[in-house]
Amino acid sequence: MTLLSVQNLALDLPLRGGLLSAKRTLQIFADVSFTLNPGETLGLVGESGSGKTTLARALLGLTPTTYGTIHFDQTKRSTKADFAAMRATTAMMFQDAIASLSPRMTIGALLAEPLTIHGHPAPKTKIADMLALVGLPADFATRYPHELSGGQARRVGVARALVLNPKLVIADEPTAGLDVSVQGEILNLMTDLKTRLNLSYLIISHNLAMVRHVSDRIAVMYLGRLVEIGPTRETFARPLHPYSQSLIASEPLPDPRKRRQDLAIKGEIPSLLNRPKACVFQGRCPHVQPICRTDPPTLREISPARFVRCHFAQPTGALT
Amino acid sequence: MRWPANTRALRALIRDPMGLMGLVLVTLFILMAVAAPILAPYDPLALDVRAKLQSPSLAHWLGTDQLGRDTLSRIIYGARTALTIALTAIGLAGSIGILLGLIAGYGPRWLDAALVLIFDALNSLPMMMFALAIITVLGPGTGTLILVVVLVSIPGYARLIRAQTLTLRSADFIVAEQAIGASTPRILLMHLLPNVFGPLCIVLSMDIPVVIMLEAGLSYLNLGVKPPTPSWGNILYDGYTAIRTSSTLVIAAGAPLVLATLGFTFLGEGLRDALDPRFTTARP
Amino acid sequence: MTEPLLEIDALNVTYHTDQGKLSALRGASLIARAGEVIGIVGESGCGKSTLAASVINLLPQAAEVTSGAVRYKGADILTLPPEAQRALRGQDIAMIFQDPMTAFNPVLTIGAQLIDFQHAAQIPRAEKLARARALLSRVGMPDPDLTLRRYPHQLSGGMRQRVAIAAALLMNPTILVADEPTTALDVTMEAQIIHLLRDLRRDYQGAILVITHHLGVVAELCDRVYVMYAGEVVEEARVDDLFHAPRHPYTRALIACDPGHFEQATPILPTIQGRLPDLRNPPTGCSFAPRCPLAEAICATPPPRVPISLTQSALCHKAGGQP
Repeated sequence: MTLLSVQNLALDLPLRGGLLSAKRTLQIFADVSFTLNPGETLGLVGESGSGKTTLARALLGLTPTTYGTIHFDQTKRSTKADFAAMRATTAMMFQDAIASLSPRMTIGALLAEPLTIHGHPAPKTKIADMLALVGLPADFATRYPHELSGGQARRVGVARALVLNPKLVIADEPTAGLDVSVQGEILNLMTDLKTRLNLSYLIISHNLAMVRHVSDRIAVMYLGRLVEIGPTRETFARPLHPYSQSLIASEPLPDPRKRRQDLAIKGEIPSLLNRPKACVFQGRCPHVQPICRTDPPTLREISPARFVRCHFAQPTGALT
Repeated sequence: MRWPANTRALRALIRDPMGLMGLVLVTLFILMAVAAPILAPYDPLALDVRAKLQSPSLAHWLGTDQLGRDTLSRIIYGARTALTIALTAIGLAGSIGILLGLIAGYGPRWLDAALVLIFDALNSLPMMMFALAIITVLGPGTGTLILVVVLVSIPGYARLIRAQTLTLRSADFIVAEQAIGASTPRILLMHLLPNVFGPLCIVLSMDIPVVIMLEAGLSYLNLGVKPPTPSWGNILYDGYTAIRTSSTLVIAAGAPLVLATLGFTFLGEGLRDALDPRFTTARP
Repeated sequence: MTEPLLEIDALNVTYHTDQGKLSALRGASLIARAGEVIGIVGESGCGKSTLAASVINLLPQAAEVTSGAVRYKGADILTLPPEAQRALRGQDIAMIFQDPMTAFNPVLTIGAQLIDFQHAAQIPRAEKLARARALLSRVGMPDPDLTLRRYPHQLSGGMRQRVAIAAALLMNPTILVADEPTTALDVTMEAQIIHLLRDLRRDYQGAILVITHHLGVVAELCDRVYVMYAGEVVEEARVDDLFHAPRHPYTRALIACDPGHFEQATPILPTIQGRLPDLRNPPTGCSFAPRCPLAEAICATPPPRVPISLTQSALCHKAGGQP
């Protein structure tokens, strides 16, 4: 039984053209399909411009989509009312924790708000409990967002996400801007709450080392396409898509004895306006063949639970 | 020690010297207007032709005008006229402007386009001609004056609020509110309004003296407050005609105008900062 | 050993804030020799950016150097007249910022700016242009001629950082200070910039100072490393010793926290409990003691700088024992 199931989701945004030119659209993402099980953490990784944040917002109905379906809790969600009904059981954590808190409200009012909106009582004891749950003292209820440190604002973000007892939490870069010594605190808190409250997480990040430790499965996104999905451990040990391979090989390792001698990937992610036809990775792929420029590859299951969007990927990780 | 939001804003306002001065001046004017019958030593309309254009004396602290009316009493009652018109007009225009601005900035695109078109159309009318046209149709008087001010001011306020709303509508905290299922009125009133009100606050405060001046100007043209109702504009006009004989009248009516302008401006600037917790609470 | 190019000697810097004086640097010392890549690593608030700013004497208005010296080729640059300091910046000492956009004027083309940066050089304009073009291709810009005609906003973040590196190298500086040069970039771009910097050092005669919070960048790029905590240099070591035989408890904790260092996924990541000390009222003893697993009574007294080897030292009472 899946909690979240996404099929062929796509988003095209209209581009403002001239009076006489044909109406053009900008493809943000397309052909996005994946599932998320109850109690599971899926890590969605990709570089800036890959469309991962927009996808996250689209999953909660905060951004419209042009094609495809979203099922949450066995129910199809497409209209505004569908998503509104879903909001009591889903929550989002934002990349900029402080900016995601309404600046003129106290932390207490911000924590009470989801309860009030969904018709629950919001007594002071409940607010204090939520603050205690994320390891903050009760007197934080009277503070304002700008008075918090980055780590404290993250904790408030976690508390606000969990106050309605959601089934799914989407966390966009949950450790962005945090020092490594604090990053662990937030991740450990999220892991602890996941087991206690039986949550499912979708964690979006460009930080591979972090995602690797917190997710059960990982999905790699490049220029609006999911290029690889698989169990985290196996994907990191043996990435199948050439982009995943170069992404993992680019991460600087904290060990001078393992210095990367040659560059895993050249060039940079193209602009959405210059999206390559067929395979989106063709321009940077070291294994590119003529077929990659003519036929778009599909996301195929290459070995059990491992999906990859490449004409030449092999279960061994080699490319032929 | 932490204070509830309202007390905190007031305390912050008082701690700021300019804000405190603005608050004191504005409070004095409001007191003057409310307590006019108690404060004024004479009836502002009582004529005394034998005592016309007197210099300040113990009987008439600010002298008398060309009809022998006590200037101090007329200034005190003039505050009442000025504040009634200015506060009503600005209050009305501000509320309508906020509402339309929020709707234009946060609502669907077609509605925004339609509202902006209306604002532009209103703005493109020459203000004086527009005012004169309305006065011609409805006849001069306090009500007409307020209507003119409201119609002329709404587009500016609405545009300001719209621009602020447009920059905030995709801010993280607004998306966060949508994500927890907050309704549109809730987002508009509880999250957008408090954050867009600051800049408008100072514009509104600074427009109050402009309205007082406008009232004075139109009253001079005999299109505003009808004599003999005391208004600072009327007194100022009387003063100009009699300036060769005595300058007391001009100074007596000009000084409250200047003080009112300063008072409302300082108060506006003070309020803008005091209402923002980012200025008034320090990081512990 | 060669003469140091740059020597920061027991530098103390205080910030004057609304809440009182804040000691941002407390006796920080550093040496950089020609041909070295020096890493300065630490978490936010450790003073690494203040240290970088003091090298080019671009400290903010509120900062005051209370004692210590910054010597470049033996002369204290903090006491030089402003004129001489300006001449030093850009010619002898160049800087690369986290956001390369800050280094460029948005309304001038890259070419115009790269020529303008050479205003002190007495060479014809055509030669300056040729030099700019040569450096752009040196930093791996695919089409240098096109880049010269571009405006800063027309380049991607990674490309802008390359151009910023080219701009910094224009006057052939002897010291290059890179403040978080890859923090704003994506992983694949970061790898390319690291590669470029590593590549440059081979034919570059000066010293490179890399300020970063990212241990991976340090491991990939640096020869020697200074670890900073609460305004102090707590450990100094060659990069291999730092990662394989760290002696200061903070260095060990910092490395332990980096999720990149685990071979296997761990459900619970290590953290450093507690908070940074308040630098408005700095502790008299060891500043890491309240968070240190090894702390004892003696740690309430100022810690000694314990030499471990010729190239390694740690500011710790407990560093003297076995590693």
